[in-house]
Amino acid sequence: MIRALYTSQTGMQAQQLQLDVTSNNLANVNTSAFKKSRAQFEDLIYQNMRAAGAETVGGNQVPTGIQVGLGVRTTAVQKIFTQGDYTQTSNDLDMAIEGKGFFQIVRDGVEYYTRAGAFTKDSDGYIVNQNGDRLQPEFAIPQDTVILQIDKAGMLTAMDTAQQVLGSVQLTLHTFVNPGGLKATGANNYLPTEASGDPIESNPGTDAAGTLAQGYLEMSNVSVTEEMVNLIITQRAFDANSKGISTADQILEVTNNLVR
Amino acid sequence: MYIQNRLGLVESTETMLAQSRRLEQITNNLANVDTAGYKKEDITFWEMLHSTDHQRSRVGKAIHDITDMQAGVIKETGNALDFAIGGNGFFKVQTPAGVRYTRAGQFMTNSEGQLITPNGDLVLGDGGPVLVNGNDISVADDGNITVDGQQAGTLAVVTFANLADLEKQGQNLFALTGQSQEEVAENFSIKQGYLEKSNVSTMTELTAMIDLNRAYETQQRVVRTIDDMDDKAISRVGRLNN
Repeated sequence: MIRALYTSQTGMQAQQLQLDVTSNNLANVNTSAFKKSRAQFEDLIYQNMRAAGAETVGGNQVPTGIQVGLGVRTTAVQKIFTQGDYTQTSNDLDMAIEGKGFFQIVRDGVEYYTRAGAFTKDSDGYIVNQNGDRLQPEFAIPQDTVILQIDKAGMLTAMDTAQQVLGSVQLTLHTFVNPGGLKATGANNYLPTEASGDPIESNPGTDAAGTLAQGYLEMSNVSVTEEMVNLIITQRAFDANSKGISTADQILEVTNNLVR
Repeated sequence: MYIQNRLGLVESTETMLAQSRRLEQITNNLANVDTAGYKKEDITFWEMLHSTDHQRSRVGKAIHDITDMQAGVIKETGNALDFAIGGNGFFKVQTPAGVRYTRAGQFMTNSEGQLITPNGDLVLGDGGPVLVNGNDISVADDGNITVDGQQAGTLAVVTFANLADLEKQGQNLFALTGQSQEEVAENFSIKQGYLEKSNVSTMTELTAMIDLNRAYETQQRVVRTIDDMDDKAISRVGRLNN
């Protein structure tokens, strides 16, 4: 009986986590290059209960064995790296990646990876993200630059009014065998883990890295409709599990009332 | 012929225990209402003859639990590594404890590019672990995997003559415990980017829960009635004026 209480509790906890994940997805519906998460569940171990070996008249053992499940467990909260939609910004330093690649930035000496391509210049002319972390390889845009061109293959060229080339750099992208294994550290950044594998550096347009689109930003891949449906399902499932607890409670009460 | 009170007590208690097991099952079903590939559990009761010797026997109640293998709703997820099996069949998974079977096709890759379950167990193809190290992974209806235009094996989908021989192991896995042999499944179709949801229906479970709650109360009444009878037997029988 107590088992039913705890089983329902695991169900409620799972739904609560699902709600946390869904609300985080919804909160980031307008975060550029945000990748939605999904909670994955599995059933917990089963307890094998065998009723005392009941015998039939014929002396045969009747299979009265019974398995009782103990609830649900969260296996993973997985990032879903599907491509987000693009939005045109016409900003020179906005880049969207069409493919699986990541930009590399350095923050406090640590290499992070991100798909958020909303870059700007810092006071020294270096290309930085919104937090001031420099895009790798580091490149300072010359002062007199008027035209900034980034082609699909990641060649960034800075030119003055007379279309004279002042400087250029080859931007690179990094791919991972298993992007789902990356650790999200907030601020749109990811760190490689054992599960994701080591970053593989390549030029845009080669391998699986994808190409760059200048003047575009990748939007969040969260679909509001999908998340709303998830919210409804989560709430109902939470309800149903709480009913499990109240039924167990009522049955316990009835049991207690056996003795007057 | 006399009526043995104790027998009624025994049978009521048995029923109450059975109902509380049913509740444990229902709460487990409800807890797994969102677990991909979960198969709900049900209980059947049947009459059974308990006997101590050829003169003393009674009809009692036996419990047998069934896993309902009915397919769950298939839902689109758009994730390239989510697979649902339309029709019969199970994916094969290599766990440290041996080969296990699952309908929950929410897979990932590990750092070597092999297809794994969320617990890190390898998903098996026709030639062992499946390597999907590439950008563009597509899986055909028959389980044929193509990675970046290259053939990369076939997902193993198997079935069994008697599905009751599968025992739940937790972690969405089934183990083969009975006589059945693993057979290559036919008439199935793999749907990439879809997941099979749990086949639990909250309405059915909640109704069953109300039902068992009332059945439990009824048995409580039976126990109390027997108690009243005992009370009368002890304190009133043999008394002359009431």
